[in-house]
Amino acid sequence: MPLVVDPHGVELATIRDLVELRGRRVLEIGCGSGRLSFACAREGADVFAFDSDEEEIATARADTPAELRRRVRFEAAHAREIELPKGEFDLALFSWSL
Amino acid sequence: METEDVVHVLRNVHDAVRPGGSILDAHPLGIDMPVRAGPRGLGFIDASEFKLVIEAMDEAVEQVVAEGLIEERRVVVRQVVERFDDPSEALEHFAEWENLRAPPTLKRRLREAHERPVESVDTIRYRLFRSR
Repeated sequence: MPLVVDPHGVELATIRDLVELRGRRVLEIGCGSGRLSFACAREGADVFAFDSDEEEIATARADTPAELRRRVRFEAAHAREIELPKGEFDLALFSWSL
Repeated sequence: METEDVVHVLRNVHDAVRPGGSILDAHPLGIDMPVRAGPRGLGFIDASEFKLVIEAMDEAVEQVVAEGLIEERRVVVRQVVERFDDPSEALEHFAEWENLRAPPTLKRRLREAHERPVESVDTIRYRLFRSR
């Protein structure tokens, strides 16, 4: 069994307590293999998530559940260099990445 | 992310979020992390170097707050578990971390441990900002 981060679901519960996710456009910075991206999408958010690690992004894309494919999009990019659309998102989430 | 990049990245992300939107920063606080095998405590991961990185990052965030781009709304701290199937997997993972160090005593106890699973506990701070 691989490493399991946050088996008790503390992170999603905390994020839900702090912000509304349903119907929100979420930008995730440093998404890794998509652990929180999928969680936010399951809550009803539309997620654009990126990470500089191309292998992690490939894993995230491969692991995206069919029911979330329209809600979450991954890109390999560095936070220093990525060009983001202005005023497009309701929430930006730095996932252990700042 | 390098410390010097933080201000630039935060400005860029601020521009991508609509005015009144939210920016949520979740990251470990750099507190020594307890490690346990089953119910038994084995010691702590030394996070003293990582704490220095976090302090530098916090200074960069404060610069963006001072610029008036974002304002802090709420801060909460939670403990998040990382669970490994066995001690060798934990040791392998700990070796990959930057700025975090497993002391020799902890490594020895891990090698000798038979209990499962192995868990480390991160203290995570969630800072919610409002984009202005």
